[in-house]
Amino acid sequence: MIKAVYDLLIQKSVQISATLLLFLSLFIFLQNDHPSVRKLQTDMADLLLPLKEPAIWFSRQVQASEENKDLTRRIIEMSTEYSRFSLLLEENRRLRAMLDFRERSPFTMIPGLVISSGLQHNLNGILINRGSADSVQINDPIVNVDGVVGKIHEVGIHSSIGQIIAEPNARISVAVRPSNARGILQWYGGNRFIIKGIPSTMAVEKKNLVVSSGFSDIYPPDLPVGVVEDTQAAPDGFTTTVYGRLIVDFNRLEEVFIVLRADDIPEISGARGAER
Amino acid sequence: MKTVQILITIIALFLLQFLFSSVLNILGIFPDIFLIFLAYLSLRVRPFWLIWIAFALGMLQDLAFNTALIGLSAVTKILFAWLLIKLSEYERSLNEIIYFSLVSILIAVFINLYDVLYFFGLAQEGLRYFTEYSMPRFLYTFVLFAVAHYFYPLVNRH
Repeated sequence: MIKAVYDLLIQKSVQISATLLLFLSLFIFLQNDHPSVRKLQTDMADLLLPLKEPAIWFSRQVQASEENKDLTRRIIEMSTEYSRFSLLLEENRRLRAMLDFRERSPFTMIPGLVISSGLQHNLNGILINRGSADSVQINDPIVNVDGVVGKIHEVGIHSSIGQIIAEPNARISVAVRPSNARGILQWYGGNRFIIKGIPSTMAVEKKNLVVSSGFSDIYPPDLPVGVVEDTQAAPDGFTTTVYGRLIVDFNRLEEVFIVLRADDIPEISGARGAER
Repeated sequence: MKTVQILITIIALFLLQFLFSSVLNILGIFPDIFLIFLAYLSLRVRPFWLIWIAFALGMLQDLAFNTALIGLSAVTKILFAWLLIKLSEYERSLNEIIYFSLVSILIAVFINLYDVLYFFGLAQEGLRYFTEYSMPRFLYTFVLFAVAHYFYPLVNRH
């Protein structure tokens, strides 16, 4: 192999020498700063430009392809980032609303995060990251910025299980504003509720707000619970059955407040036992 | 042709063109005696050496007489030597006069090539330089070549 190359070099020594020396001379020649050289360089560039264009085009295509990949990656990153910021923005909005709610509320409340939901077979519950270490007790009401969520069912040291009002076992003493008609609210499937036994003499209309009545040792008064959507006269002819929609969206429950029972919260034992 | 002879001749020609330029100068025209020398060498040295001698002579000429365009003489002389090598392959099949004429044409071409490249950036003056400089320079070189050929034939077949 080496001998073959050597033989070729010897055989073509004239051509190789001539080519090398010619290029060397041309290289030296083109280094001169002379009008002729400059003109020659520009004319050669003009001449070679059509030949260079496909190469430049191809190079740009390769570059564009690389840029495209990079930009796609960056778009994905930005999209993820945007999504994250949107979530943070929404969270920020919620937390601000909660902070505002907490400041306006006359109750002593501690914020909690809903860690999971649907914990028990016989209970539609939520797991909250607050427990007895935070002074949480059984039957403490759980609310959020929209209204009543439920109550504490079981308490751990650093977590609690809450029973939401959107479950078959839940009951809450409520009042319909502005007529102040009182009754016991029950879950009626989905996000709906039913209130039975409201006297027919009480004016209850659609879109009336339903709030906690305060006739309870669990829920303080005037906490929003739902909105009236329909009313029907009961078969007994003396009462009205009210159907409505719960205010709290239980499918999007993330942050809640636990209302700590204070000594100055009025307790009216009349409704005690009606709520479970 | 022996190496010593070649070196001595190169030095002699260089000194002639460099030191005795006033002797060769006729109305500002100088012959390119290195082209004549290369034409003679093409039939007397191996092609490999002819290329290297052409390069050396060209660079020498540029460094001594034309520092503004170093490399130009080397380029033209290498090309000239290359064509002389190709032409020498037909030397035996060509008539002596025809061969001399072809070499003369090559000399004319390369004197003009040099001037074309030299005056390339001065296109407006190119034609004037061709008539007033390039053509007289070729004629001057050709006369010297013819005289040399008369006393020392380019092709020595004896």
